[in-house]
Amino acid sequence: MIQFEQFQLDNGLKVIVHEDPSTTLAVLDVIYDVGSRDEKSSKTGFAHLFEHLMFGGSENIPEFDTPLQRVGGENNAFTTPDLTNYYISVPYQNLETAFWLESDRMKQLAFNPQSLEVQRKVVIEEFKQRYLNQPYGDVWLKWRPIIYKKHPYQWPTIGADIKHIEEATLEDVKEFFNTFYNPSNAILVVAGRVKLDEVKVLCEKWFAPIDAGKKLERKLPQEEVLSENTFLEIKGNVPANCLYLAFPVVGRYEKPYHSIDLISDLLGRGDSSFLFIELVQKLRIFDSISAYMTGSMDPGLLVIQGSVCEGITYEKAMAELYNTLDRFLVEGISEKSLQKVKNQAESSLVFMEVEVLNKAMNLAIAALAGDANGVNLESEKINSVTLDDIRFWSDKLIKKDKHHVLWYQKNQ
Amino acid sequence: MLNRSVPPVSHPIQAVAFPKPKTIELSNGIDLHIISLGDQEVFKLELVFPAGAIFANKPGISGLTAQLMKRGTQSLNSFELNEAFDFYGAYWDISNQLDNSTLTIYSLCKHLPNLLPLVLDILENSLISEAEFTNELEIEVQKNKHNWEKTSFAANQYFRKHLFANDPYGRISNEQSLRAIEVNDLKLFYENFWKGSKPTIILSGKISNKEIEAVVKSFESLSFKQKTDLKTPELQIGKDQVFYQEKENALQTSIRFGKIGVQRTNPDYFKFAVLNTVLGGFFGSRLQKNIREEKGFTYGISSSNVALQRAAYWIVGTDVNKTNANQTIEEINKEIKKLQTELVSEDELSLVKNYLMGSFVGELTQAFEISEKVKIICLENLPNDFYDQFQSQILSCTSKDLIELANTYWEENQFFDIRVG
Repeated sequence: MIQFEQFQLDNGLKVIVHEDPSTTLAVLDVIYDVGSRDEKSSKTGFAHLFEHLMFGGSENIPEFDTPLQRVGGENNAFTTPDLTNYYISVPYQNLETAFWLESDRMKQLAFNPQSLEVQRKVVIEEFKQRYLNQPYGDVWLKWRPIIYKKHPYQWPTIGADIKHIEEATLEDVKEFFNTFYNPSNAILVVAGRVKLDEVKVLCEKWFAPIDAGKKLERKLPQEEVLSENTFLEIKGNVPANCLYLAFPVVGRYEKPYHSIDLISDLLGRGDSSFLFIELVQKLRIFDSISAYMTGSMDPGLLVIQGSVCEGITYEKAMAELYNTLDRFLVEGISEKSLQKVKNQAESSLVFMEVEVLNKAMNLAIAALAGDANGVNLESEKINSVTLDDIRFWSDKLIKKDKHHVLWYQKNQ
Repeated sequence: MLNRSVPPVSHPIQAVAFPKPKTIELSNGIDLHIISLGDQEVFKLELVFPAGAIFANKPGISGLTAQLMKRGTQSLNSFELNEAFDFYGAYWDISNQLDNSTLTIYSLCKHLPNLLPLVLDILENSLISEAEFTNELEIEVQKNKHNWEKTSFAANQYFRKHLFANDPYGRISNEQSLRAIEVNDLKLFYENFWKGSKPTIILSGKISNKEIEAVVKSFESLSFKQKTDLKTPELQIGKDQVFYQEKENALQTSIRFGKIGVQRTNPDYFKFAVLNTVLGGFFGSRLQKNIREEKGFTYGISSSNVALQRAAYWIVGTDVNKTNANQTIEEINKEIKKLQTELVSEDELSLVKNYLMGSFVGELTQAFEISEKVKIICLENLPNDFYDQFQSQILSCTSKDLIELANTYWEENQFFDIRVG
């Protein structure tokens, strides 16, 4: 249970405060309601490029990192298809430095041309390091456009094409900032050894003077229900043949999410999961196999991915995987196995609360989804899933003719 | 009107006394160290055995042994064993490092009593069957091949191989060396180094007497041969300091540049940490500013001093665009030279000290992080006040100290330059 208080500034900034006197750290987390799903298809990778630029100095502070390091703080950020999150952790005595830095870049970024040039290069190297210079690194780059025909999840956060990053102009950057980076489009979480009253004062001082800006309404095209399987084959310099299946599922905050999440755990979380035992250990069709949820806010995917044993054909691997999925409902679920995945999920939730930074981020993400207290309801939602729910959703979702198939083949 | 160009008043970061663990000696001589802190009812239990990769006679044996220990005991097959751990919401692993092997388990305190018998079973009755061995070997070969496809992995391996030459620290494994392993090698390794030796146990989290009693009771029954000191050869340093491996289709070159580093038992260890931080040890480091923030050659560059039990190595690592590899090496050399000839400004030094102190003090608020440090103290027989010294040495470090260390530890002709891609 994470206790918190919340209030809103006149400019629309929502503030959440979690007091945790057991730590000597203070954390300041700002989430902006913008991710790669909010980009134009002709200018992808922008939310992420922009995240890099947020460290290039603001109107009154030429460098972001240095003053923070000077007071013993650390910071970083990440961008997802749904959101952009910035976090600072600092010895509690120096909390105000974090307010000073974070509020100034929300107020007005410096738009330094040199910073754009350098970060453009850095992001291109990141693109290469993560997506191109790794075996299987380009899977999602190539698969997303097949899976998402309409929704902007069709490109990854790094962008659809390096070109979009290469061609970004300072004007584009300014427009992006003005559209998305303002108090009414952000949530601030302050956590750790802090006091509600002190946070209120600091918020009034540093964030309240910032112009509200406009809260955008998101209207994204949604995917149509899949009528038949899609198939993609990639050939590349990889060590083994891999097989991926993706089943379209609900978004992270829709009702049956937890049932489906537990199904993915039963199928492929860890070395006692059904697919692992059947296909890796007993049948020796795969060297490894796992199942997981993409967990996106708009409808996402349940993904099964496995590395096929040498000497096993794709046809054989597919046939055995489908056969095993067919047997899942009969052989793979029981009161005991459901209790097992619930216990695993409970553990994950409690461990999430160990670090104050994780607590702050989870509060922020839940608040963005509509209710900060959502973090405290997760456990109950997981526990209320029944075997009937598991049966119902497995039956409904794991359909042989309504999913995406990807073969990643190694060059002979 | 608020003046935003003036930073708020800040406070210097004071040293914090390193929390002392509670230590209990079990009746069979095992030391159990306990760190209790935090509100969540969670624990981490670590059992460290002197069963590192360097003690096996072939590379890969210690890793495969660890893997096989997860694949069943005399009474529980692989599925039953893993299901039992999963059922109690545990994250667990048996990992092997160069010097040690470690069984680690995290879960909620309420599950500890149910998990301890499983841990004990693995330590006393691992099966290591032929059939599971055949499976795991294939899986390991695949993983190994996958890893070698990555330039960063390959460069790390070659760095160690070239630096430590014929020393066991320099051994690397590939498909061929893995296929040379037989199931009996693992059985022997398990008997000698797991069952045969005394572990160090560290228990951290929200730990009450109940947890302590359960752990004591479980591991008091462990018996092991009391061994004489393990013999390890005199350390040798390699002679081939330059190694480039072209990879035609690679888009980036992975660079690993470095030399022998500074061990924790060396009094210079602390201040060398400050020096390393200035050069490449944090996001605001000189290398990161030069290579990433000014030139945009890479997504990241960092340097670190990796302390092992018999040696240490110091390494700069980065992945850069192929065409920029030479210039990156030149810049690394320039930055080193600068630290050998020019005093670090008071301003930069105080920033680095504050950064180091801030992150160190931050780590002391969390039981699992403290336990990592306690583990180091125990395994390397360091004085109990090691981390208090660490803080006071950071705070007292001067620019003059740094220039001396840069000249002592970064002698020009000692660097290894390894590149893959």
